[in-house]
Order: sequence, then structure tokens, then C-alpha cells
Amino acid sequence: MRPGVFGFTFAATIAIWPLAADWIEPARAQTAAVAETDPTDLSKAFWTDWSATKARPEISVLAKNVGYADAKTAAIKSAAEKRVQAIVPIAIAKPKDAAKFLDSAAASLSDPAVSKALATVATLRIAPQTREAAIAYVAPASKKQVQTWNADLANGIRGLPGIYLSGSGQTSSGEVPSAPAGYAPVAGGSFGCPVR
Amino acid sequence: MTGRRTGGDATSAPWTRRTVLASGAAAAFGMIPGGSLDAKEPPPIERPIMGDVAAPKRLVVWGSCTCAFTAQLYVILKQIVQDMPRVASVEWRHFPLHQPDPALHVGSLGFKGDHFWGFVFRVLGVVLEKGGDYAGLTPEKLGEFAQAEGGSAATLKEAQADPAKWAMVKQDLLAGHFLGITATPGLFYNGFFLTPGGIPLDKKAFDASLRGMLKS
Repeated sequence: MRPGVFGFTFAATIAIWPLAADWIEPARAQTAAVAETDPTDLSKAFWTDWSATKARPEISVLAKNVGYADAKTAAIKSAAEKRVQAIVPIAIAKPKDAAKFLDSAAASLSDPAVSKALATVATLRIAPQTREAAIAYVAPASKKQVQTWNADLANGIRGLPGIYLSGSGQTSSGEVPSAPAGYAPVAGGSFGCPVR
Repeated sequence: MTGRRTGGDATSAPWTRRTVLASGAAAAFGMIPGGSLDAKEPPPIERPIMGDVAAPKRLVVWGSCTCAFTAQLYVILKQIVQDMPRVASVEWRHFPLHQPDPALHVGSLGFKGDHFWGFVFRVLGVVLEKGGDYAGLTPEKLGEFAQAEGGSAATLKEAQADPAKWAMVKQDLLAGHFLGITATPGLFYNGFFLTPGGIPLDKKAFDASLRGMLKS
């Protein structure tokens, strides 16, 4: 090849490269996008990730600390004896108990998925005023972190303040009724789809 | 279906290699107003709510798109929200159960407002009709449902390409795990877990109890 022809070919290649790249890239991206969004593969990847998450020791500890397994077991046992539907009271009414929840949560708030999941649990179990009162009992080391998280819990809630937990579920003596006001537990069996 | 004000906004763009590279380069060269190299969280996706978001009584349900009992509960709740529009609303939380379920949940988030519920009810309708068998939820059938709700198969694909929507489903599943849900649907109201063993077989009595509770 003569130097002049080589120079022209080289210059032409350089000149059209961006155009070629612009043509090649969408085609590649389209193929990749279809492969990346295959629903079956995506669901499989989700379950793999979920299994890994659930197997983390801190998740088991959190589930125990922010959950209410004992209350659930007791409610199911009592309901079975009465042959009615089980109902579990889950609200935390005492600030000291709420502080225990918040202390347990504090260690895991740096993980966004866990933090958001715990926020959901907190909003369903602890009324805003109880959460505020609980701050005084939170361990000093995690107080600032819990305060910030507590304030953020109000964000993203769609609806009225206290929409998840009005506080009307508890009596003034702190006793928790066995069912919401106006609700008659249904007689007979209950059925659902079991978790994986 | 009512759903005067509903959620389920799809706010974040699909995270493809190209968009990530482009946004990274743009941020590096200061092309994004106020942009920095600090990673910013995508805007939150609003939770799907059936009925008036300002209704004072909120039922929160962890449901599965492939569970016939979730479908049965929604037959009851849909009618309650229609009958008591100023009183009650229902918040959807994701709790996938079966192998194909996660992609269905994420795909449904491609629809906004009433169309979210329309799509989910169509899916649950198939599962209910077949007594819990979800094999009929083929890509073609889901495409039909998507079209009926003003979208297409591409709407589902786009939603499934959005990591923020997958994260939302995982967060809900994790919250449900913390809440001790061992069967769907998991129905919560004002500090009570109403269905720790699933929904009562006596649907008529269950419906009456829920209405009594919401009226009190």
C-alpha cells in the first residue's frame, strides 16, 4: 500500500468511527437490554439475592428484635382454643419498649434496604408521638442516628399523620385490646399462601 | 374501581450501561446542574394506594401476584373502598412468593394510579379463576393486560430494567419478613396484624368485620 492511500484510509476510518460506533452501540445495547430484562432470569436473580440477604446473621437478629414472635404464637394458640381467627396486636405503646426497637434498628441503618424495611415496620408498630418520646431512652451512642432516622420516617408517607397507627388501638391504662375496635374475629379456619 | 388519587409513579429512568456512563461523564464534566461526584439516590417511587390517599383509615396489605388468597382479599377490599371512599384506602406492599412473582411485581410498577391496580387485578383474576395456578400468566397474556391498561409489553420490560423498582420490592419483602408474615395476604390495620394465618374462610363474615371496624 502506498503511503498516500494508507493515510487516506486511516483518516477515513477515524472520520467515520463515531458514526459507526453510534450505529453499533444501540444494536448492542438493544440485545443486552433484552437479555438483561428477561423476566425469568431477573426473578431468579432476585431470589438468589433474597436467599443471601435472609441468610445474613444480622437479619435473623433484627427479625427477632423488631418482631413479635411471642405475641404471634400466643395469639394463634388462643385463637385456636376459641376456634376463631387469630389477630396479633403489634403496636408498641411504651416509649421504653420503643427505645429497645430503635436501639436494635440503629446498628443496621447504614444498609439502605434494611433501613427502609425497618422504617416500614416502625411506622406500623410505633405511633409518631411514642417514637418521639422514646428518643430519651435510646442509647447515647446511637441517639443522633436514631433522631435523624426518626425524622425521616415522616417522609414518603402518603396520607394523614398517624395514618398507619392512630394510637386509638390502646387504652389509657396501656392495655392492648385483642382486636381493633369494631372488629369481630371470624369463626372457623384461615388460609393463605405460605412463604418460600 | 375507585382510586381517586393513587400512586405508583415510575420516576426513575432505566439504568443501562449507556445511561450510567453518560450520566457519570456528564457529572464529571459538571454538565448536570448542581451535579457532583457524590452518588445521589434516585427519587422514591410512590407507593400504590387504592382509594383516596387522604382517607383517614389505611389498610396495608402485603400481597403476592401469584396467590389466590391475595386475590380473594382484594375482591373484598376493592368493594369496601368503592363503598366507603371517604373512609378507607388500601396500600399495596409487595410480597412475592413463587418463582416468577418478583418480575410481575416489578412489572406492575410500570403502571401509574388506576392502571397499576387495573394490571394487578387482571393478573390476580387469572390466578383466582384457576384456583392458584399462575401458569396462564404467559408473556402474551401479560402483554394483553398491559395493553388493556394503556401500556404494552415494553412497559413491563422498562419497569423490569429499573433497579429502583427491584429495590422497592426487596424492601417490602424484607419488611414483611421482619413483620413475621408467613402466609399471604398479610393485612395490617392500626396496630394489628389481622391475618397471621391467612384470610378467614368465611368471606362474608370477614367482609362484615372489616366494615364494622372501619365504621367504628
